[in-house]
Amino acid sequence: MPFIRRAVLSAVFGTALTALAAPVCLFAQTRSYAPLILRLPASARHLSMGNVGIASRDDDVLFYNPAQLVTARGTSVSLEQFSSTAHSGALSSVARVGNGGIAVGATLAEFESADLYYPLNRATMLGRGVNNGTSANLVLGIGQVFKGTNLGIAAKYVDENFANIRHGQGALDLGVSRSFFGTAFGLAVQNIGATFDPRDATVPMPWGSAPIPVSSTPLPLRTTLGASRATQAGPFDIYGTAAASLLRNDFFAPAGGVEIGYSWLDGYDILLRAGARRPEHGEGPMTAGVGFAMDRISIDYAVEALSGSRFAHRIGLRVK
Amino acid sequence: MTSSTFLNRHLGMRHLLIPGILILAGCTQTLKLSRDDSHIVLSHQLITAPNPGEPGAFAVKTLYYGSGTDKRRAEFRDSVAIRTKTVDASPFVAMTPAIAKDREQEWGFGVNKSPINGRVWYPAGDGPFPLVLIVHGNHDMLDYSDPGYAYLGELLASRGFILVSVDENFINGNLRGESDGRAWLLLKHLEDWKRWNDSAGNPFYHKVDMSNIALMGHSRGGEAVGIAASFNRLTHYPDDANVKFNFNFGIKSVFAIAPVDGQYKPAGVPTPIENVNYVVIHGSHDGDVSSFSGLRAYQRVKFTDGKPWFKSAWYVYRANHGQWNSVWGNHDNGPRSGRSLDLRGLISPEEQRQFSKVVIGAFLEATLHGRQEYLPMFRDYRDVGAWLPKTMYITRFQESGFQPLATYEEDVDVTTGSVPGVTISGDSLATWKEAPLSLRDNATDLLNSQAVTLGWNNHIRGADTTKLGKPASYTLALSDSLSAALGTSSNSALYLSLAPTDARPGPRAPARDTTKKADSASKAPGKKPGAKPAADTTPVDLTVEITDANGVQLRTPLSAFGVLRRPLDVHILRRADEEQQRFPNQFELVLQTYVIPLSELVRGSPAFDATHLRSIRLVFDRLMVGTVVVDDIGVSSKIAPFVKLGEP
Repeated sequence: MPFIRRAVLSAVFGTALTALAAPVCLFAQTRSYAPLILRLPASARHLSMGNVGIASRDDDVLFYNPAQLVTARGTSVSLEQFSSTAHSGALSSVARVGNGGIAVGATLAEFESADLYYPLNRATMLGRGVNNGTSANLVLGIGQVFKGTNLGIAAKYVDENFANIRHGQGALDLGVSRSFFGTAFGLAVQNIGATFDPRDATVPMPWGSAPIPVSSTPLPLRTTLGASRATQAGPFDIYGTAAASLLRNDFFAPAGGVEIGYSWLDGYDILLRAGARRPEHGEGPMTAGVGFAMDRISIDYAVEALSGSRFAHRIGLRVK
Repeated sequence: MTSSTFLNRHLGMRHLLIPGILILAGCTQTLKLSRDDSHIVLSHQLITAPNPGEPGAFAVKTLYYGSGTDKRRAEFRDSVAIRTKTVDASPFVAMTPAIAKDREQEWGFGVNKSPINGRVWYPAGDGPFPLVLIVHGNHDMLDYSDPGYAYLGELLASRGFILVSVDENFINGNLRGESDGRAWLLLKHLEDWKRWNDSAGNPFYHKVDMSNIALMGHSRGGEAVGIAASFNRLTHYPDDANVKFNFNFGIKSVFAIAPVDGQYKPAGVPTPIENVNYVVIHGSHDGDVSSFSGLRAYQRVKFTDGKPWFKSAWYVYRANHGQWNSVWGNHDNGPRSGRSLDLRGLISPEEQRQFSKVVIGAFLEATLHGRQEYLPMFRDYRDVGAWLPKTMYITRFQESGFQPLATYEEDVDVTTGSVPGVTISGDSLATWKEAPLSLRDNATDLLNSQAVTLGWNNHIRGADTTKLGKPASYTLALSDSLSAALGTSSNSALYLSLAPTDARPGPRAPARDTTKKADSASKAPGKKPGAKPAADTTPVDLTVEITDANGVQLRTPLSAFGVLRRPLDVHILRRADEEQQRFPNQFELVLQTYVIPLSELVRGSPAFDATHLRSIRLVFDRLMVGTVVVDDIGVSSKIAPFVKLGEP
């Protein structure tokens, strides 16, 4: 279906261009959600393509759309350095269950900040400061096929410690996906849950330190609709993906990316990736990356632009 | 900053560089090919007839016939000289409604309106000329396969054949089990040809010799031609008797190029092929049909009507799947298969097609034009060393006069032959067992043929490694009544098919001396753990000994009647680990047929009575240690047309 192929590729590039053209002045609208871990990337490969993983087949799609666990396979680990004091990591694994998949995963971020505001965001987590913080997310997801449509659910427990704040609670992700004419489409609603309210869970600050004012903040509810498609162009394997996310405060965040793979020997691939996104607060619009796959093992590297001409680097190892 | 300083300073990358380069460069296995002996084996040319791979005397004309409405194929839409009606192939070609809809969108017609499209090369002349249909196999349906046999069309038309390359691209692609549909379409083409031959005003009016028809097919098409030969004689479709057949065309010859086998089984059984001349060819480095599946069809070809038929199988070393078709090329699994297939060992496309021109040309000349001078090359390919490309071949052969003595199919008693009156015995054999032959693709992928494995070691176990015992032997003794019934004469021939293997049995135990106690010094030396024996490169040979009723013996080395080779190395994948994972054997065990004309043996021994054979014995006296697989031992009294005096 050439017209469908053209339409999908047009959508991918269109989304990417829209993401680049979107006004950066809307950053501020996205800053007041907690916990921080739910707003950080969780996959090196997806990050390099605009942090879009809504219709992926990798195991770490657990963090993007649990419905795709039906087709996802493998185990992966990835680490990201945002600054000399801010890091995050992710671990996930999928196992086959019936005609679907079940996955477990965790993400963890550690950071410092001198900021006296809570919640933190991707900009304020980067600096040095007297206040240390960790933010963690433990996820169990399952995806199953129902009448040709993939349905998924992921239960999460998120926990954040920062200065005098310590709080944890549950949340849910719901997802649905289906392929039409060789294109995978996905829809996910993430971070469904009660307001993140650490007011009853503060701890005493060290002597001499000023406590940070605590207020309740909503979870970063995100609804994402996206698609992906793989095709071939001469000796190259092309993979394109695009998504549009709507955040709780009606912030619209289109993103997309492309991966170009070249294999010179069966099982060995070199992959170049690039992506664009409409940046949320603290983010830059561009992402990129490379990958090297050797049979069932692949190593991925991604770089993402942050605000203030800074860059974060993420590496990942995946076994399929 | 120098580059090395740069690397030293950054993440110790210098240490990563070397393994990185090794990973990138060291992944393809080294090219492994068996030592080529073609400069010796193919150094003779005994047949003096014109090379059948060279153009003949006829001027060549071409035309297209077809539906005239083909959306995708301009030649079958705008250039057809003869319009044809579409046919309903849906009873034979099953597909899901979604696939059917996709295909209808792609082609502009459904399988219920399959076109009868063909491109024709024909000789300028009055005829009648034999009719040859060739059909491609499965391939990318939009990378049209039918033009890829133009080289055969030009050749065969110039030699007085009408060649039609049949278009079945519209059932290529993502279908399975449609080989019966491919076959049925061929027969529907023949129906049109019969009508044209009978229709005044048609360009082929009275120009087609409908009693001399050959079908040729490649890959799935190679299976289809066998099915078509079978359907041709049936009155009903075996899988749905509501579909009636009424073909009965004069199909005399069937040629299969690297065919698949068993993708379609009429009524659930392998397709029976009877009473046609049959040739199958296959490349050792076939990256698609990676084992010699056509040997199964070869085994099934039976001659039951007493007419002079023959069958022949050719295993062509370093040939692949696609180069028989000039469109398909050398990437047997699609345009990207160069990533997985090792193409370095392939013979060139020109050489591969030269081979097919010679063998197809000779086969059709012999079976449709009656040019018997080409028949001997199917018995012993060494007769045409100058015509064949310089690579190695293994061939099977049988003609309708073959009378089996031991084919190992009949029972599990290793001492009995295939007909009453044959008694089998072995002497000093280290290995003597009957087992099914299998194809290299899978140890459980059986060839549907039993064979006997014979191993020997003439060395006597002990400190003296030069001490030899009596040569091992394997004997078929024939009863008087059987000997008389065989009706052999000095014009008969002895058949056997054989392949050496790499197995090396240990030395035999010394004869027991009951006067002495067991001597520990005579025991076999301990085997060194982990020591891999070096490959045995000693030439394989053995003696064939026949004895008449008067006890007169004739002996000949088997190598005088064909080449004995250990299995040819076959590595088709670039990655050794994938090769070993996919194929249990890195070779295909293809038996070579040796036909020994008794006239050649009797010439120097007039006292030998060829009318009363008493025994046939294989004596393992020319190689001290070895193992061979043997099958299809028999005799024939109708070998004369296949014998060219003066062996290479």
